[in-house]
Amino acid sequence: MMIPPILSVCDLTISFDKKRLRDAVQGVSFSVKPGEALGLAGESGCGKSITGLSIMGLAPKSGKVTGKIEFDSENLLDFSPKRMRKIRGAGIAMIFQDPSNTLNPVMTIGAQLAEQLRWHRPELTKAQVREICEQALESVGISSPRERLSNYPHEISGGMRQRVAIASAILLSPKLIIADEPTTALDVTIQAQILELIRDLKSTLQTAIVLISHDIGVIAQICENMAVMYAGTIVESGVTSKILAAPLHPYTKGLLNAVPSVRSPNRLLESISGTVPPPSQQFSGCIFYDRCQFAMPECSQINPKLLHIDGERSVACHLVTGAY
Amino acid sequence: MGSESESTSYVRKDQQPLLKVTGLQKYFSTTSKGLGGMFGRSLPLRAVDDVTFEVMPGEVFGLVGESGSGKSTLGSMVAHLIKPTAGTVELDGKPWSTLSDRELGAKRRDVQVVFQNPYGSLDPRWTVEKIVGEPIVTYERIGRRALRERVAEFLLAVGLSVEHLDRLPSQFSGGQRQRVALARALAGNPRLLVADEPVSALDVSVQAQVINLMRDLHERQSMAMLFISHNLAVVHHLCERVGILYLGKLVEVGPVDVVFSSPLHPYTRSLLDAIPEPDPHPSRLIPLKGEIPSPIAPPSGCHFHPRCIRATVRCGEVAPVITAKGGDRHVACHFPTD
Repeated sequence: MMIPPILSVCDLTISFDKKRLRDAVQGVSFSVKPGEALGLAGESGCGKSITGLSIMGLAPKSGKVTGKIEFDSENLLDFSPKRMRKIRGAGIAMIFQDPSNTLNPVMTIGAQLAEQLRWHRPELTKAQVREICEQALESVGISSPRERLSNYPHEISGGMRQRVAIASAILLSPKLIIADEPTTALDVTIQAQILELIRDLKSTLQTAIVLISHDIGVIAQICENMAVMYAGTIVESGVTSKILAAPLHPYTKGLLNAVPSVRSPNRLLESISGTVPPPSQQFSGCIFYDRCQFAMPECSQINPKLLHIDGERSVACHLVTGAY
Repeated sequence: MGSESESTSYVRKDQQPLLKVTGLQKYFSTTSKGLGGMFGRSLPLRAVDDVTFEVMPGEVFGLVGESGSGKSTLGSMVAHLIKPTAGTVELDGKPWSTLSDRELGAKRRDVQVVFQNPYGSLDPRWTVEKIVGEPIVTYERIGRRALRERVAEFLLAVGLSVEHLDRLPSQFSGGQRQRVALARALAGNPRLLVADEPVSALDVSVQAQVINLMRDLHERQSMAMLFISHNLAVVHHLCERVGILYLGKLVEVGPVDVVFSSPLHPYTRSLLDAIPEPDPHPSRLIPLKGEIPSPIAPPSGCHFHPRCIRATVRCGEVAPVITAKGGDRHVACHFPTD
């Protein structure tokens, strides 16, 4: 039996055309099923965060979002702001990178969690709200949740704050969680704890997850599927283990070779020459053309489309699709 | 605290160390809450607590630790940017603290620093020529044209070009800025480069470029480096020896390859087990329990014992002293893995 995806993004384009900039996101498509995790990988400025924000309807007003974002078979882009507000938190929740900036410093943790419940489920009594908040804190591994509810964010550690942020995200049992670099601000040992927690929540709650990260190692831990983004487009997508075993797009290859590892021998790292093109730079051909070591003449003229090659793997590269 | 026993030095007898750090401590004063604070008593924050190590000429030494482990404080003391509470930092056998102002000024040239954030460490109103040229002008009499040529040479060495001379930092990307910062550090012609998280703010593809550049510069100029990072993989690619810090204390020191392949200290093991690798079928991470305790009130005995799986009663009572284990390795643990 095929489970329909809970989120399916189709041909998403986000443009800020004020200064003739290239579109921040260009025709991005992906989908996530319940209980599954999709990783969006890429370097800074490749459009992964804005993609996440646009799903939540939080993209900056100056950005024009077109395409389709289907959540539970309804296009979120058609929703009124009022209806969108009901989806946020209850249907789709978000976890951000830095918990010190996302929690309100002048509200206790209990008050911040309760605020969501009062807005989305006004029928609950005070005691019930407290009960749900305590359960949420307990499920993210916070000991003595009752005491923690009366703490302010500055009274707890960074790792604990991220646990609170996750508790706040799962409070209303959303069907989809968008986690934007949820462990980047944390130390490795704390990161390992949080990754373990996210993995547990995924299997117990059957929540779908879109995990945005620059760290492919983090994505490999959590996500069954992944998409590699570069300068606003998806250049390769498919099953995570298959992409990591045999990356096809030159950018994915370069990215994986550039990651230093404690296990590999002490070698010279392969780097990708140049940098991610600024949004003011326009391309007629492949967007990776000037950094690609396998570039062919046609790459400068024709922009390769993201094509299925086998099973669930898609690649946007003339070199690869030509060979199939 | 100041133990300077034989066991705490890591001397390779054949050579004179370039940098020698002995029993180094840095305590910051804090005002504590509650009654103690009211009566003006406060517990010190022990950022760096009795650290001893050496760096040989031309060697790349890595310092690894999580946030709050004291690695940046240690780096600042090595570069004499802050003064230690106790202990000495010696360069060529001469402690910083005994130098006169004039000697100090001349000696500073031998140690240059590269900081983490190239957006904060470069003056936004200075051109690249002025930024990179400053260390040269400070120490030498040099004509304008000759200076420009020298600066251009350093820019070429870090992979930038002559056309960048008159640009401002705002016209560069993060990776390029870090190259400028590196060129500035090299312009002082240092014998020791203190690099504090120099690649942490960069994207992976650019990070790889800068790591390779630093490796290359080290090989060509045989410059010693104190490389401070939270990223074990980066340290693995760049350093010859590594020291692991936990709550201001060195817990393990040794050659990078052996320390990372068969760590002696349980904390080193946990750090290695916590790194997510981009493998097709990654092994499950083994998270360490709990969090780094406060450096204001560190646990008794071994600071790591509340989080350690091998901890016994003794670990909570007696602090282990860092001791030699053969093969240029040192560990501070009552029950190291063998």
